[in-house]
Amino acid sequence: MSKRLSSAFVLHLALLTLAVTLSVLMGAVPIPLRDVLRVALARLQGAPPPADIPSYTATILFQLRLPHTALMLLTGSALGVSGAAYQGIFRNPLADPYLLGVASGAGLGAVAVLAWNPSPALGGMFLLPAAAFGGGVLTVLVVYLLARVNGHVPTTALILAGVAIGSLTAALTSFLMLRSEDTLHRALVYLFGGAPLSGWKPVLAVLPYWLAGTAVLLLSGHALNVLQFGEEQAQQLGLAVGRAKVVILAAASLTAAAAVAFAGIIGFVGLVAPHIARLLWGEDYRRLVALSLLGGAIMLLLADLLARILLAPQSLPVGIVTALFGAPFFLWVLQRTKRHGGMR
Amino acid sequence: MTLHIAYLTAGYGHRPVLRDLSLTVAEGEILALVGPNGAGKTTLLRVISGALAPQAGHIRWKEHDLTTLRPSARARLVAVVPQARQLPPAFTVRQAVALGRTPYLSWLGKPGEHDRAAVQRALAQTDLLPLADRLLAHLSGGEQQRVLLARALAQETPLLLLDEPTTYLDLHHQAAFLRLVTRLGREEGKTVLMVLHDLNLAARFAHRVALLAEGHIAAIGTPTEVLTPQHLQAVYHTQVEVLSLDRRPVILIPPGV
Repeated sequence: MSKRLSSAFVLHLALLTLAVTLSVLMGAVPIPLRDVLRVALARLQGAPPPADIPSYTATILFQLRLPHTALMLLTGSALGVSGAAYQGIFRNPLADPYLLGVASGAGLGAVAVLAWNPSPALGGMFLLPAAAFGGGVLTVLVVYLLARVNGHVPTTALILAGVAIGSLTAALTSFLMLRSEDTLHRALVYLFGGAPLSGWKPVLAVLPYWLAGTAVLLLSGHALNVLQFGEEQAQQLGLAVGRAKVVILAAASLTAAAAVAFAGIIGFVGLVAPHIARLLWGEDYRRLVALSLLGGAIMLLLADLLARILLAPQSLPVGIVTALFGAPFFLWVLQRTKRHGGMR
Repeated sequence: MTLHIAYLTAGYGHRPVLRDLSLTVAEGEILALVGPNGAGKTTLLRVISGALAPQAGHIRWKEHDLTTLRPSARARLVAVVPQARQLPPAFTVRQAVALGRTPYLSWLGKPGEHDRAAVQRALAQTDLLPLADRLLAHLSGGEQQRVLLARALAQETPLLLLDEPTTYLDLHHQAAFLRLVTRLGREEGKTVLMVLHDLNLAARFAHRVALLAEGHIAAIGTPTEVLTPQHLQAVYHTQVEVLSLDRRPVILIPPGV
């Protein structure tokens, strides 16, 4: 590994540690680092929390901050890693994890549940994410099947089918939302990532998909590299292109769908995290996928932090913050890279 | 004979481009495929390389049926040098050439000692060692074409297919590139099939020339046998004059045509 690349990983890990620490410490009720460490130490030793620390500190820390930070970490890294995979498969800088309808499908699933307004007893808090996850995965599946021609799935057909089905699901979603004001508000909050579920259950629910999906994608760097020369050359170089596409798209879509289902539809992270990694450290997908994973997590943790403290005690939907602050930051990186001649 | 193509029919949709085409190529031979646009030259290379499935007929390399092999197994026998167009700009030369080892690697693509040596050798053979760490975006057209040749050499295949590799090269680089291909083909005992538009380059560098027209072989043989005014006028529908230089044909379009 080159020196430049090891420093890239060290920098990412340092930033990630910083982002996680800030995310745990800051919020409507700031908790000093010392208190966090003492409460955590007491918990590890099985002792009651120290008496001089307010009793709600442990509750905030273990029931809210830590699981929320973990969920943002999983969501951001999932979006970063699947964004890198989508851009690699489609060889298109505009591709993001939502290109084939994960987000619009998840949105439709969630809004359908809200419009139906079921009793909370039915499926409880998991009904909404389950419907969103199902909607996202189902939509990608429909897009994939529609794009199939004689056993092949041309990339252009995939993109076009994705755009068409995306418009259709978006129209259905808008229709359902406009039918009642109550649905409209709750749906908008969900769609902008403003209602992430709290507690450890969502983290545990996302984890298996995250583990399986990111593992597959982290190991797919070589296949993505070969695909950068086009599918025909990739096949002539010995890659089973059809199978590689299915494996990578399935892993990326499942990871993104799981993330979106619990944290809401958060834009921009999946598009930009891979670009920043590429602009700064080059095109090799074996590294790009890993750096996008770390970069996505850092971006979302910082955006989420801003969302929580900007209008505290109210919090903004994190999706608004990712776009509001992510876009100028990305443009700054772009300008900087262009000036240094690193741009194609 | 080692490459044996028999009764091959292939094309796109319901329109076959190649019709009942049969062709045999000997080991170590350099065969140029020439012919007018749409004659099926590139389609033939695509079928041999597995990019396009044939509708009928078979393609054998020694005892292997190339049409039924898995991509990785086929890519150990057949390497393709495409036209250097729209290459991913941010890859270095070494990274691009290393992808030639794909058929020998697992999904992870982790290279071993032999893989690294093969890449190094391919870079040396194509004079790319000094450029190994350059980005593809910063190379000239001729250098990019050499990168694709090096990648195909790193595949260590007995069969090498080239698809109009000189189209975007100037006169100097056309000759230099084909000299390199023919020298390496000879030294490594490779069988080379190359699609060429320039009949004079075909006459100069190939052992044999196959003249394709409308999906079949109109004439095949030594350059002198195939590149005659009769054959060329019948296929290209234009008047040509053929001179002889150093016992090889030179094709001219006479003034006033």
